[in-house]
Amino acid sequence: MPLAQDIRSAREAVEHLLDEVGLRAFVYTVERKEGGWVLAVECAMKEGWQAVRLRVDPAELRASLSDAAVRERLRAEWGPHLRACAKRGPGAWEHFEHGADVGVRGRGASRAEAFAQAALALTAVVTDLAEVEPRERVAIECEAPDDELLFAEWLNALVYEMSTRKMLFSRFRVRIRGGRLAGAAWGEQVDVARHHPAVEVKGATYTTLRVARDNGGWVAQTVVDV
Amino acid sequence: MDLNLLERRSEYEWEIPQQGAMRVPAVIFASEALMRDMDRKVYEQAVNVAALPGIVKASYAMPDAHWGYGFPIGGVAAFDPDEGGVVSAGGVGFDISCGVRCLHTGLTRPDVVAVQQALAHELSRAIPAGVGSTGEIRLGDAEMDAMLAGGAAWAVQRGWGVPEDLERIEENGQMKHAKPGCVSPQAKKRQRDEMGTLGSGNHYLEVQEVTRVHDEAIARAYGLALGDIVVMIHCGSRGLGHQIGTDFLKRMAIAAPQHGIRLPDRELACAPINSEVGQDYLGAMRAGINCALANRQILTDLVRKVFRRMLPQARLPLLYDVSHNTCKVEEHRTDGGKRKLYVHRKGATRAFGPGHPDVPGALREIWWSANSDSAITYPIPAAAISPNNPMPPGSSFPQTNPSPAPTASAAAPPRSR
Repeated sequence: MPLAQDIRSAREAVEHLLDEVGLRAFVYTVERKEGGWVLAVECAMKEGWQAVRLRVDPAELRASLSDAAVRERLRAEWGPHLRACAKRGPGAWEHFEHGADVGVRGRGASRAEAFAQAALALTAVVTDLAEVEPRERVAIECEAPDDELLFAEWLNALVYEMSTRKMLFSRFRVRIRGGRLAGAAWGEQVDVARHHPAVEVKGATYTTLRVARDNGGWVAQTVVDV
Repeated sequence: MDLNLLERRSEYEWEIPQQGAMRVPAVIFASEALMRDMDRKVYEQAVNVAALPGIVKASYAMPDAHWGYGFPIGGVAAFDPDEGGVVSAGGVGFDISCGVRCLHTGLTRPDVVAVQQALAHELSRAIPAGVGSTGEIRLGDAEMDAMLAGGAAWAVQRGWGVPEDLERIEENGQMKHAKPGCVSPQAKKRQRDEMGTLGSGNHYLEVQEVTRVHDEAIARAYGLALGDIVVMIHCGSRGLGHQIGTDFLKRMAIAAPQHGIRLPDRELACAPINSEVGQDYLGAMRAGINCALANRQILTDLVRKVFRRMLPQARLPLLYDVSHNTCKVEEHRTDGGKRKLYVHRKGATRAFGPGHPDVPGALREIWWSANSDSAITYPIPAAAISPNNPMPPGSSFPQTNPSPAPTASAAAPPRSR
């Protein structure tokens, strides 16, 4: 039997990679079968949900967590098998003006994607996103009675993790069901010399807070206090 | 801002007449030039605040008001609990009790310039600032609660400063009726290693020179003169205050409709003062005030240590400490007589007149003593600057050459309030 720790790191690596491949919606299992390890991915395709099975090497998966070259090789290897899976649209984030503070806005094909994009904007308030390595995963859960409060909760949960763990995040994954959000953020410890953090975010306000359908996609925005 | 939207009450006072959902008018204090440059959002936010339940007299904005969240920054509003008045987390702001503290140094420019680079270097090493910085103090659960209840008085008791410091801080350095139990574990966790840190953004610690004196007599009473060097500190309640703001913004946004409060915008989230959420917030917010007061007191001690090493002749007595993000209970005379009101000030500094009981003791009589020759200063004995290990609770400092602060002389003019 594989160790629970092996399974955990394999799952983390798989989630990270599938997210990087850009799948819009998926579920997966990682199991030891017939002497090897098998990754079963079910993803949304035009003709409905389909399963794809891939052989994986647990050592390689573990290595991918800290080695970008391994991740790139695996993405290239898995890509053709997952070609038919629905991919996320080109999400986007931006900042907008607010006097003394700063607005963060995310856009995406879904609410979840807009939330994740806005989280990128949050980090970009503090530092250059390209400088933040997604080395360590932090699970985030929050809930609220409606989309807008949930969005503020999501950003505030990230502010809390940034503050208490002294981390910066550059990769996000969000799943929303009902009023609950289960997500994850990948990042690393603040390195003042490399990140030159401009400012610390105190919290997400409700000023200009909006989560809505917009141009066929979703937009999520609010002002954060810096 | 379009001045046609306002009625001019006087040269520096502009009124937005009561209209629509407004319960009172809004009043902005500013010169015409400042008004023209002021953000239109200040108008909208001052109008929104004027519509909140239980607001008294007017929704006010100060000359430097700008677009905030909910309330304008530079906004002041008083609420009467007996008329359904509310308390608002956004009306106080995320950085609860953010404020300014000024230390005299007894030095002049040449003293400091001689060691300028080294002093700047040592200060930057001693005062943790910026994202991810931590202080050297770690507070356990019980000590965290003692700090949240005790404020700067707690810090002085632990050895970070002298009792005379407290006479120059609002509330004598300790906000009463704080409820550490209403502060979430998350807020306390955010503060665990942030005591004695400065923060980022517009927070600063600066070594400044007095370059202009507006009132000779009062400057003399403060012991200040042209060319004097002071240290100014601007910071607040750090992660703890930010998290209290975050926690209660959500609780209030959910509670407001349950209390029949219709908000024009969620950013105005508030709860009746006489409600569970309202009372919890006030208890937590007061604990946040104590956190800010304790933090500025610890920073003061760190600064004194650096100066003691670099410039042993400097003593650094506290000139004053005043907060600008608070909600405080104050007695005010209104049309209906004297009333206890909950006054929100966000980015707005309280400024009571001479003799007011809420002005810190050592500063209360300064207007009168300005006519005498004696300066209000007190010595910080070298031994009073804490060693690396703070003194245990209850210990007191040896006083050398104590000089009592002058009080109002018999010749002082009668008080008029």
